[in-house]
Amino acid sequence: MSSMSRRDFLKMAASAPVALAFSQLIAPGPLGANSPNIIVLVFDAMSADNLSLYGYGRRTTPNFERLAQRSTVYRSHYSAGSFTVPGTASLLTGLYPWTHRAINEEGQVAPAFEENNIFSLLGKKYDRAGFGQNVWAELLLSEFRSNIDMRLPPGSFGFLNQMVGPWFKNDEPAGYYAYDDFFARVNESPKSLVFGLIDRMLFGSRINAISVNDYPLGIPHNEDYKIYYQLGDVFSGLLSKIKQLQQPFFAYFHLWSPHAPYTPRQEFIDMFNQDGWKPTRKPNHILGNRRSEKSMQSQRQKYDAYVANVDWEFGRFLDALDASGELDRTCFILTSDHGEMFERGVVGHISPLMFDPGVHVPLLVSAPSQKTRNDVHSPTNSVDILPTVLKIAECEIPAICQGQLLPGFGTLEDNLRSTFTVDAKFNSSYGRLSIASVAMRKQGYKMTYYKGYKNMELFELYDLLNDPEELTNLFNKNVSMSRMMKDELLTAYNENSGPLKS
Amino acid sequence: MIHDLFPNYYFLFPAVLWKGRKDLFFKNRLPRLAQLYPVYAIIVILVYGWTIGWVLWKLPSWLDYLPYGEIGAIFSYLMATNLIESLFVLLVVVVVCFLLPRKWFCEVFVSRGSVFIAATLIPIMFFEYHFDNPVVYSTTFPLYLAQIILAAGVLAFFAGWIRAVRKVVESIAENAVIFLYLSVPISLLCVIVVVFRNLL
Repeated sequence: MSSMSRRDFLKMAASAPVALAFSQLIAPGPLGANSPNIIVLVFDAMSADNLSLYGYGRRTTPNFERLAQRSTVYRSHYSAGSFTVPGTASLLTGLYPWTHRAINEEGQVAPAFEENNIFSLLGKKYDRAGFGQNVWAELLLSEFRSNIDMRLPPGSFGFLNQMVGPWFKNDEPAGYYAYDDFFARVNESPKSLVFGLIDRMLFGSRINAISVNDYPLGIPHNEDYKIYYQLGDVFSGLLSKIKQLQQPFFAYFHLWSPHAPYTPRQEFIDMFNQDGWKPTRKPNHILGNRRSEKSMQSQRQKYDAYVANVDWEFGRFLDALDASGELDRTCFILTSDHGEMFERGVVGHISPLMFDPGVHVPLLVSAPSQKTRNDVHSPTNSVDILPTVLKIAECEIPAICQGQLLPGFGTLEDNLRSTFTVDAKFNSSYGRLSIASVAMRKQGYKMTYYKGYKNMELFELYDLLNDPEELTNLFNKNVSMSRMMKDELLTAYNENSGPLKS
Repeated sequence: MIHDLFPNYYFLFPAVLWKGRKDLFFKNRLPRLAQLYPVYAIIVILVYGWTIGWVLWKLPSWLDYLPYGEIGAIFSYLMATNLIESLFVLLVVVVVCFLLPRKWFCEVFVSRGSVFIAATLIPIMFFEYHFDNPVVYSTTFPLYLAQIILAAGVLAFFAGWIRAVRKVVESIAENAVIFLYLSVPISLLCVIVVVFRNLL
């Protein structure tokens, strides 16, 4: 005889009020009739905390807000990783970083989990396209290449592209690792004494020849690899590729913008210079860097302007997609792989810190023909995207998947659920994770566990409902919640931090 | 006709031609194979050494996330590229040797070639180690390169002119040939690996 536990009862009670709100999405509607097209558009390093869609003090994303009017907006969506590799790998496999082990810069999914990728699970029923303008995302796509029908090289649609990896189509990703990542990586010394020199001289002269009238801060480019582009061209190129795909299709487009360097067009640069808005000043963290407040705010202003620029370009893309009628038969998913920080001494996302600006990312899901907006407040994670896509495509969800269906696509809001964000870049992907940051999101709280940095263990607990800026650490104040979350977090960590399971 | 142009010296022409007769033959303007090995060995030490040094710097990171086979494949690409790169540098030196009067370079190819190579590539290493911005390479570097080639030329001149220096340089270069017994077979094997991986 089965009995309902207290936990199940609480889950059910929490879900009940929102059940009605989602009835239109859960009911078999356009999703069940025919398999719709699916587009996943990922903006790299886009923090939800800097989007006006999510309540930011600057009007950065009017076009995202326009899309939101016909979408489900996930307000507490978190990336499973704090930089591109783990965040993207989790999105594409539905597994947490401590399982798939793409945890290092330039890392890859462990061979045992390679086949658990979204392209493979969708199968040949879909025409599958992949584009990783971020080379680290492209490395992951190259790992899944046998399951992708149309893969676009990272330099596609750019007007300056000096990548060598795509030449070695039969031996990916070794070509990328050898040439683009080792021999000729831009922000490092050339590792080939003579050819590296010639390559860099040619590349430098090509950069010099570019007219920068519209981009006084420089043309948008990948900071580590030789790809320069204009976002408008990239969106136009993607639109033309979408038209070439056979229906139904699944397209994963991972764009570099608004990742650093922040290079907005001329008309956006001064957009927020004199707006008088000031972010909350936050104390430096023991594991943070030591960037000055002035420097952080200057970078934040550039980033916000760049986000506004990206949003503007996206608006044109959205209009074109809508005009072509594609949006009515497409499930459109907009998200990011990780966020960006401008606080606590940190600029960017290369940091062990797990505060919301670095890991809280946007997620909008616009179902075909959806006309109204829904908001979901319970925690969701990038590992949930894979099962949701599979559900939309009416494909089987593998048992190994660690995500669950997004509320509105088969489940109700679940505030008691725990989601994780993991950063373990300093460990071998094969061994035990001894230096790591793990954030666990549950109910309205977030607990963060820093292990091994400076030989210490550190726990922090924040009440995100009453303290969204994460200013007061409640770890020693809210003892019962701290104990409960700590036990759960440590159990999960101990279960998953051992050597790689094959 | 010639008499009109050079009324006082035309009678010297046959003598000049006779004296420089060796220069007129294509083969004589190129260094002998025995002269090429030591110079190539110096090139190999610098070109391969630079890359292998960086490989050792990067290897701990690769070991964190790449299987051994993949690291081996990447290494094959690097060594195959280094082979082509080192042969390219050797070709440049041989072309210089071909263009210059025989006595200037070809007859003291080992000492002058080795010093010229080392005096050019070592400052390039210094530059590459300190600068990574591509724009610097297209703006600052050409002038720097002109200066180091000039300086390398002067050093190479002295290396061939001062007997003691010439002997020391030749001795070092000839001893360096031992590295070719490693680099050449490994590189050829790596070329085969690269070709094989790309054809299959």
